[in-house]
Amino acid sequence: MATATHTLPHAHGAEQTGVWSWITTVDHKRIGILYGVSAFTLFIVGGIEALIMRMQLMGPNGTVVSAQTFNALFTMHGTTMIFMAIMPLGAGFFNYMVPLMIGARDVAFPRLNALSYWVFLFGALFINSSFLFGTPPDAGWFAYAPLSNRTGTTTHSVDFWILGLQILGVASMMAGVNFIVTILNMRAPGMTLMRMPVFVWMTLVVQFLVVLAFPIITVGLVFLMFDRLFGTNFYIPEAGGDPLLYQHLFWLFGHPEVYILILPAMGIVSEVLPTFSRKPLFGAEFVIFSGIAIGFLGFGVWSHHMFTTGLGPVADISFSFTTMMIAVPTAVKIFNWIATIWGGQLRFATPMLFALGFVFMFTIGGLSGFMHAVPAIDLQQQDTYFIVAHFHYVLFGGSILGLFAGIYYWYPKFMGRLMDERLGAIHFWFTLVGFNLTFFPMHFLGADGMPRRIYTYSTWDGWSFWNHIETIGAFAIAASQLIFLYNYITSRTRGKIAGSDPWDGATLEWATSSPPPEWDFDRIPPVTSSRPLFDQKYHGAPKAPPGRDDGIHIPPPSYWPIIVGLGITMIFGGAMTIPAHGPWVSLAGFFIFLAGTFGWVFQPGYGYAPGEH
Amino acid sequence: MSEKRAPLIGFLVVFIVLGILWIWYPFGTPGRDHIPLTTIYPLTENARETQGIYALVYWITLAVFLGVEGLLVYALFRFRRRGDETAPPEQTHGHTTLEVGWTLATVLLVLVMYVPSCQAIRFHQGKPPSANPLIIDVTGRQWFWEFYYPEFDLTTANEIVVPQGRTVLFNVTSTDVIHSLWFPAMGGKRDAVPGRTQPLWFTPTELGNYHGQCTEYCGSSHALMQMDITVRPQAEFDAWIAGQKAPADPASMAGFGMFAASGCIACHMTMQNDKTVLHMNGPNLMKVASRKRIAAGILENTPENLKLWIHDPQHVKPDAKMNVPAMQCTGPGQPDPCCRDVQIGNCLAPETVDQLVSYLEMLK
Repeated sequence: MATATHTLPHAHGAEQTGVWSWITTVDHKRIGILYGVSAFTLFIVGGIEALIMRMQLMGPNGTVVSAQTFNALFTMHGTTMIFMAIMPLGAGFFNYMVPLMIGARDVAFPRLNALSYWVFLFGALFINSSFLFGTPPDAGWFAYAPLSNRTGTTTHSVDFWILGLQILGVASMMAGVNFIVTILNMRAPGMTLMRMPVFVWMTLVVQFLVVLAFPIITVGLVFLMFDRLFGTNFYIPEAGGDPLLYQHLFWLFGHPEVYILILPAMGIVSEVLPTFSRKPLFGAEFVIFSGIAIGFLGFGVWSHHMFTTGLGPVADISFSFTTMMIAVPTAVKIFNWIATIWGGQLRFATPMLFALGFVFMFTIGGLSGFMHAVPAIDLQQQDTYFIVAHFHYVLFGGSILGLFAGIYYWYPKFMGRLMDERLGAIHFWFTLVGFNLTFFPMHFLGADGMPRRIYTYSTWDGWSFWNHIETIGAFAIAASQLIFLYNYITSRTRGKIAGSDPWDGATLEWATSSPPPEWDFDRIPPVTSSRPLFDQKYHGAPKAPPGRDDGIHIPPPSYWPIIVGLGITMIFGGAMTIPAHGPWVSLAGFFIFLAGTFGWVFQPGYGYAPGEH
Repeated sequence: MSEKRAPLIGFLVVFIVLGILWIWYPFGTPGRDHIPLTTIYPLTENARETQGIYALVYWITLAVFLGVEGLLVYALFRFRRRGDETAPPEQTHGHTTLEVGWTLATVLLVLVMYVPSCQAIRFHQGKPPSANPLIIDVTGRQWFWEFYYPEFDLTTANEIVVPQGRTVLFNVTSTDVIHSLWFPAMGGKRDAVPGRTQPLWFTPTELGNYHGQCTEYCGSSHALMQMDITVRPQAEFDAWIAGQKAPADPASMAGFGMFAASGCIACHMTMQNDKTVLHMNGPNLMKVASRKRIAAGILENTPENLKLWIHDPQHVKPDAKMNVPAMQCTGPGQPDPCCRDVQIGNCLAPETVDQLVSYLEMLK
């Protein structure tokens, strides 16, 4: 029988272990963990880059690193945190949680999912390998032309950046399509769109943003790559090109990217606050609609990054209007979160602390963002530390705190054990205090006229005091992450056994064991409301009958994704050797890609989990 | 089990401390004497216009901060679990009137700030208020500022003097990468984008010397690209112009030969400062001795610093386009720039450097 020949042995056996099982895995939960661990490692790399910068700026005339090194550090800090830490941490949650929350057994395209991860990992390694060649990218994380063009940078540093981002973009695009299809097609019976958890909704919005925004930066980077490697003149003003074209393309991507970074955290917080208040999310449909509105408006605000370039009064008046209007859905979300905890029975477990920290800090980031939505104010604040303060309140105080809330919240689902609450609280308070010590004074330094991206300043500038405080804060943040790591690792063996539903949750991921079986659910749970599990526990809604479905469909492991991923990386990465050495690396990559794809399509894409025999 | 109070106290303390800092800063921050680039104390109508809208936004956002975060902290105190609850709390799913209410309230608040913001845009980006502004063409360079006064056919670098009370109109551009021209005391900044020329104007009224710094990342020495604007009474300004336009001191001619022979002439002009010498590779040095600082505002203009700069520009200013190793190679393994940059092969003897410095010192 066909089934028998195509069923791989492990699908019937116990959980596979060992490196090979991770390399060949197509299980969304394992891929989620791979994303999470890789992204957190890169988060630490980006954090170390930040610490070196803070040491350099601790006092005037710092001598810790050279100007060139400092410039590479802030370029790679931004690039790493945005593309290789926060985005893939979000992807980790999408992977692990979305199928569980919608009652599915995997994502729509499990092997494509594995490919996304491997391409992301290779892309991250590719960009960071530039350090080994001594030419780390140093044109800033938005790499404005002409500084990033062939006239401004003659080494391969910017090539690593361009091609690395293209590789990471491929990974994001594939994941985007995969999750859109998964969310639209794989929901459990009864789970209408409006019954989906808000986290899944935010995931869906993010994937649309990814799919619509990444092609724009792809175009922008292709132009830049052609300018650099093949002598075109898209951004060369002497030849009639326009440097501002690059800025438009970059920020038309770059601003939706901001929402790609923050919406997953908003989704997590929208799950955590209700659970620990023992209430449903207040105005869930308004929160969802606000998320969609933010996604739409996010495409219409990009020029607020360019007020100082002199686009003229009409552009400034229009873009400041759209920018300010984003405050409306954002404020609606914040009001709904506060209304959610209003009247609840609040438990201050670690996930709740981080979620509350998110609401608290993100609000500050939103308010400072409003300040430079006013073009006149922006002309004073643009490219000063005020901006640095603002986006760290949004991306650290927002995204990172939200993602930590998610880690503490779902850790028992990943590991079957709870993380230590006392260490969790210590982690939270050190992070919150360190964060505010580091970034709140940056508002002051911005008002004091300190430009961002300067590797040194003099005693005469009067910026020493707050810089000193900030460096102390940065080390507090770093120290608290060590506490987190210790907690994360030791809780795997020493944590309290979680059971399937440690927090009294309302959504489907708590309806299966912790950790879930490879097939996620023995029986797909019935869904009759937006809080199916809560209704089962408190309102007597029907549960899935005991036992396990027969013939559960799960895909077999495959090593083809990693091979295809290697091919894709070589095709892109090899491009920078074309002018000097010819297209051989890319060509080799193309053949690896071809061979991998060939093996992929002829590998049977299905297997079965053990039934109830 | 009742919830512990510690987290509540923690959030309350963070809320109070941040609130106090937020309120304190604009009033407590030291003035321009201590922080030369401060944006808090505006000196022109443009900067005051900005400050006006900023004050409005500041108070509204502060009120929102206190209201929203205060409500959040209050909710934590009031609704923490007491441990004696027997059933889940009331399961409120939402309240449409409330939603519409706070949506409209936010829209209204936004409009309150949007309207004056548009007025400020009209003010800043409208025509300069004077029919006869002093025009200064600004070119950002890696890493110095070139200034050209078309009215006087005068080229200078890094330091400008303007008359009190007359509107200054800068035409800002660049010939290499993007820079940004910013004198915080005078108002907002304007990017110097190659291939485009863009206006920035203000009317300086307060006498004094004010600092500025490049604010768009422009490469290795972005941090070291600074400039100065000095506001003087009309008569002193006229005298300054006359001094800048005066021909070189004949006594200095003797040093010119050495300046030319050492290769400096390839990038720097010391005999002319009119429009025919615009956009040379290096800043115009015809009146360099009259400037307060050298190397784009980062060193006091003293003989020692000039020597330091000529001796090893790369050390003072990373990746500076000026590449003149100034010392004799004293032996293998010496860290002299001459030994380091062998490909240049243009070592200047120490006595040559001294002669160059004394020549430059004469260019008043």
